[in-house]
Amino acid sequence: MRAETPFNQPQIADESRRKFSIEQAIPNLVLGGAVLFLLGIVGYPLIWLLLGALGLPKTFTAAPLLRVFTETRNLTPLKNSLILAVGTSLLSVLLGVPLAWATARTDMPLRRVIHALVALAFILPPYLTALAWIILLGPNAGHFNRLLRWIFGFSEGPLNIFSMGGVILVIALHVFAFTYLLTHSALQSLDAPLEESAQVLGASRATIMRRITLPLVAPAVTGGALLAGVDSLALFGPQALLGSPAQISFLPTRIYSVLGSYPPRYADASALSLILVLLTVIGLTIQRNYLERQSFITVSGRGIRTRVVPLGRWKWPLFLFCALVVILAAIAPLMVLLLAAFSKVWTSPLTPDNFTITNFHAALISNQISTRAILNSFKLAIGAATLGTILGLLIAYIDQRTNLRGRRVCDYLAILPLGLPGTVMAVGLIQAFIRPPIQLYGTIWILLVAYIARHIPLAVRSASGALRQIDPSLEEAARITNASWLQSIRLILAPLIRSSLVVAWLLIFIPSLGELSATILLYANGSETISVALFRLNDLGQLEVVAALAVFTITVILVTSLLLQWLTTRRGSQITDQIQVT
Amino acid sequence: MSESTLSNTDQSQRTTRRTFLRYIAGGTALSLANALLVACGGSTTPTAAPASTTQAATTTNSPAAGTASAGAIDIDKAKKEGVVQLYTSLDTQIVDSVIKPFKDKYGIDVQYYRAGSAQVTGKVLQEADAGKIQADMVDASDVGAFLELKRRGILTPYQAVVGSAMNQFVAADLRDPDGTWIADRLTQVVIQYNTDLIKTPPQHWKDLTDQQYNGKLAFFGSSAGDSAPRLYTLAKAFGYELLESYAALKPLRVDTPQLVTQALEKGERAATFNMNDNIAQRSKLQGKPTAYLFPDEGVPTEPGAAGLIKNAAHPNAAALFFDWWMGAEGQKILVEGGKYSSRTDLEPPKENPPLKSLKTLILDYAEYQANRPEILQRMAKIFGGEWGV
Amino acid sequence: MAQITIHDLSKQLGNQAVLKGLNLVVKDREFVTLLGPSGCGKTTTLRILAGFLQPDQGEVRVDDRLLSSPQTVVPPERRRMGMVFQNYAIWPHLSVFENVAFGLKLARVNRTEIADRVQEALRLVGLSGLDRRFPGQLSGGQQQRVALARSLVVEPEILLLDEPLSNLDAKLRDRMRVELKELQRRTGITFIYVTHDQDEAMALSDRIVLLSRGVLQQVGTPREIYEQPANLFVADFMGTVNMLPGQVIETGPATVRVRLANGTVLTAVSRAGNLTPESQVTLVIRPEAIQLSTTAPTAGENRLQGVITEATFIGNLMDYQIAVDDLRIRVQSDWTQVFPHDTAVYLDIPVAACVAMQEPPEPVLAA
Repeated sequence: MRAETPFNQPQIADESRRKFSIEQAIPNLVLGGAVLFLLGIVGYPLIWLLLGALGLPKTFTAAPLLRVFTETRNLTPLKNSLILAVGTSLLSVLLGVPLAWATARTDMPLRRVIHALVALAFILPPYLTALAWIILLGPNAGHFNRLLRWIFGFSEGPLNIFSMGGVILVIALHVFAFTYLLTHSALQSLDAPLEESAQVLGASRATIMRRITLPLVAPAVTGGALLAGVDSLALFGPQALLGSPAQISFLPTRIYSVLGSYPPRYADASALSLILVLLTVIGLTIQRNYLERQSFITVSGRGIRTRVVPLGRWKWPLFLFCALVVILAAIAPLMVLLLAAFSKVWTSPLTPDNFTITNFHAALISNQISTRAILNSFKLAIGAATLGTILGLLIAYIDQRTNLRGRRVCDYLAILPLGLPGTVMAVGLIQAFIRPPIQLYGTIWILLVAYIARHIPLAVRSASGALRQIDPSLEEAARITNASWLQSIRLILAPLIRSSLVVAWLLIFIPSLGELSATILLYANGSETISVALFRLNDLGQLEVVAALAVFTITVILVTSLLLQWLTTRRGSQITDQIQVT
Repeated sequence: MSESTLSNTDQSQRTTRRTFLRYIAGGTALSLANALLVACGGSTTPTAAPASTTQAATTTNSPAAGTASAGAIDIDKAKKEGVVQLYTSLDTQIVDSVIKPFKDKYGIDVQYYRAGSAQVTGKVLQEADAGKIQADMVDASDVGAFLELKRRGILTPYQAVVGSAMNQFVAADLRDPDGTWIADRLTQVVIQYNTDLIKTPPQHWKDLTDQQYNGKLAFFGSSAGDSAPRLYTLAKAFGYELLESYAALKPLRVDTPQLVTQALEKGERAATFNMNDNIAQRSKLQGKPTAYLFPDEGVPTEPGAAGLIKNAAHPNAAALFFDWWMGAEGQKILVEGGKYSSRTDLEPPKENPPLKSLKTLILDYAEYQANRPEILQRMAKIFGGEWGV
Repeated sequence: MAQITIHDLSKQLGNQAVLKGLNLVVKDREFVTLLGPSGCGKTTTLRILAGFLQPDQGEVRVDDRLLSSPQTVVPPERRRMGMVFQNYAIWPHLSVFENVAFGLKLARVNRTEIADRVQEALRLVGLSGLDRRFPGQLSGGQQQRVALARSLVVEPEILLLDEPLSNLDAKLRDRMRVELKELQRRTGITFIYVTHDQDEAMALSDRIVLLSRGVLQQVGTPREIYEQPANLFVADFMGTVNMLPGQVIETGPATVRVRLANGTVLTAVSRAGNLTPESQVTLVIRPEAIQLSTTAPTAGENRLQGVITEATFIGNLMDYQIAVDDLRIRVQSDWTQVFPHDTAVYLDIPVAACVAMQEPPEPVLAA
């Protein structure tokens, strides 16, 4: 039976000592506070996004929304965003599915290394890989282009990263992890007899693949591709770095432009944001339906025996393909940044003469913006992770441990940010907190709010899963044994779900440390973050310092991710569960 | 420019505009503000007057030269405030070198937010909407933006706190008659090219429209439209056809002049048509394979200006820094960083010709500001991409 | 002193009224069992007593302290109660010692006293020497004892037990029953015990409170409830009974005469208030109250004749199925008295053991 936390409980009548009644009110205050906070950071900005799109508070008009569909300057980014989403979806299938099959079902060498490198490609902030790709594939000076010209004797080019194709490639090399991971786990949960029975009936290997395996994992592939497409819509960094030089704008860069110049045009930004939300929500809805259809796959829990396909002479060609993908997605960008970070002049080869560590000195110690940014990012990431975890726990607690009316709304509100790209969230937050009663714009607090709001779904999901496994009687036993409500949470519940809370904490910390798309619209003087510093320093052409700061950031992210991986596998759960919601 | 734009502007803008108009010598049909008019010819120049008062000013004021009026500022209060928040579009290497001696001298820290001119202005306006402007002082190379800031009542007259001593060194058309802003630097827009890739250097703006530059050009143009004023200046002087010809060569567009130089240095692109003189100079001085030139037919001159924010959090420290920034010492550092100072008493940057040897093209900012949305849209139409409109 | 007064207590969960107007007084040091099938409201009552649920109506007092009312809920930690949960709710991240010491630490008892009292409590439940173990290393019975020790160590006035023995095997359950009873006597704590097992209730309780569908059915000592069930539900729930439908043909001052379906007329004690001739009643007869003989009894008003269709030896007694015309009657007798299959027997039913009741059972409120 579900416990009922005394909510909206009237004051004590009998034992009316004051201390007592304050203590009595604590659960209401804490849980009520959590609900109000959630409404404030997610609901309130969303309302302003809607109001803003109607021109409020200055006017009341549908013109901004109409403009999205009537003006070329809005239609072009919309069209480009759609092309991008479709392109990355398709490319993510081409890259992700063969890799998933190779690592899940074959005897290809180094399968686990390939698997780990795909995960690495996913945690690298995409604006950093975009920077690296400019170095690699700049149309004339890029290393790869020079190599290709040297080998094949082209007079120019041949590849141009500053193009729609370039944007799609770089983003796909990041988001294909969605398709890969979903397909991988689907293939792994495919019981061998399904395929073997076909073999017994005389089907060839190709036929089995085409008629049995592929149809069975198709929902996972489609679901992953949709997630990849939806995620690509939101990635401001690579769109700005690679699209802008070729005059290609997307919805997020369009919104950035509309708000970034003067006077800031909130109505247009809001209207464009709503369109972006619409695209995202459509994608996620279809994706959800596909994943539900996936249930016909025989997920019988433990004891699944998957069939390993011997590759024979195809072993090395397939391996080369997989290696190429992960080299392009993770190793090459990392190496380029590493080399630049230790170079005096990044355009020259890293010879002993050209070697230096002063870039790190500049990035970590001497550069005003960079050092302040590192400090800010850590403060924000730690603050957001801590508050977000607490908030996530309380929201999950309200959902599972109370009978509070409207707790479903609360739960929904906490999941909603999954469908909100960072740019969109920023547009809502600016309008909500630029005016009374709560004026946070221009302070670092608005970034804290943004990070908590963006990542609260991860925390709620983690905490919900953990709470579901803890019988409420453990907390009740504490209550009846002298513990106050807060003590029952602090001494019993929190320690029992500690590892889930740590996971939630890391799941907020890691993306917060490198968050760009919301930050770039919200930061102010003094509240620069690492991502902003990287962007701004790059604007100033200080690429060596940028690389050093990037290497530092990636190192921190890697270490924390490994910690996360270790924690989640120790808990016996899959990191893919978490990735699905990011 | 038509009369209708004039009638649409409010009183203060009209005044400013008249000031501009008064100094448009020769009054070309294009209304090109050849305002500096330190032009090579012997025409009567408005800068002559300030220049002649230079002597008097330096003699009557304290030996502290440019920081003459610092005495009027409460230095104790400034030190107590301890910090200045500066919003600037200037290259941070120059900003850092201006700040350092100031900090050494007064122990007051200067924290800055750096972005493109339009973004700096946008940020100030957003913060004004939020009811709390973080900046104490703002600096951007877009006088039009300052007209907007002034119209919104965001600026406080610097003369009231810093004194007007600096005015005599700066041409009257390069400062607000009401004293809310004053030009601090004059960015010259130059042609820059990679010396390895270009054997016969271009001489004129038109040279870069040649087919050999197809896919070889780069230019500076952020999504907020930071480079629109200088491109508009070029269009006014030489026709929009020039820009259209550039656009036809599929130029690479990057957010900042620094990134353009970077593209030229590494040979990603061969030449650019809207580079900052100081960035080009730095690249050359660093021994990179680049060179630059000031075309004879005219050089767009982009005045950068500075102003103080009304009701700032650190008014005294900001005033002190403003005085330092505009004073001879601060401005000399700007010049060392490769900028032409707005002060007539300072030398041109190393290796660069004196201003009077250049045919400078300066924009009528009131007109630009009045027509800005249409201009930005025109740029977007010509080049594509985002222009902050 | 810890006298619990429950007045007019009602609670609705979701759309369902799970408790309707319960009145009950539990005396100090009493062992009272809330008994009934699942969904009868016994656990809800216990959770209201513990302070986990707030009543919609009515109130709970201990002595003069108002603990629960729709306006007021004294939180669990301030009720001076202990509770043992069905699943024990032993905290898995704490050792046995830490589990038991938990309440004392929160009450800021000093360290040496905590150590002493924990040891004493562990000794009381027979777990001495296991204080460093973790719950995962204990058997179900041991965990149960930890739960007991944990709630006893804080010296509550009242101990609430929610089906504490239901997860134990039969043998252990029997032993724990005895221990619980002893424990209650020794400690002098008021026990409120919830179970759905009537044997357990009979074995342990001073008084039993029988609930059905949120309504109190009967309160009384185990003997009272067994021998004088207030209604058909109680009779049926408290062990095996024969239920014979019939019609009243004559009413007397204390007895009624009832005609069964086969025409036989029996005299019965009336438990229903105002029976009139023609009233439909059910005669409730305990199987062990019926005397069997092969010869016609000389005395006794209620006599039936039947044939044994089934005779089962179940250890300490004999269990017979007897066909009396169309009626099937169950009789349990001393195991020494054995009648073979197909024996024709006489059934003698004492009037006092033959109770006439009426459907539907009317709720009987406690005095």
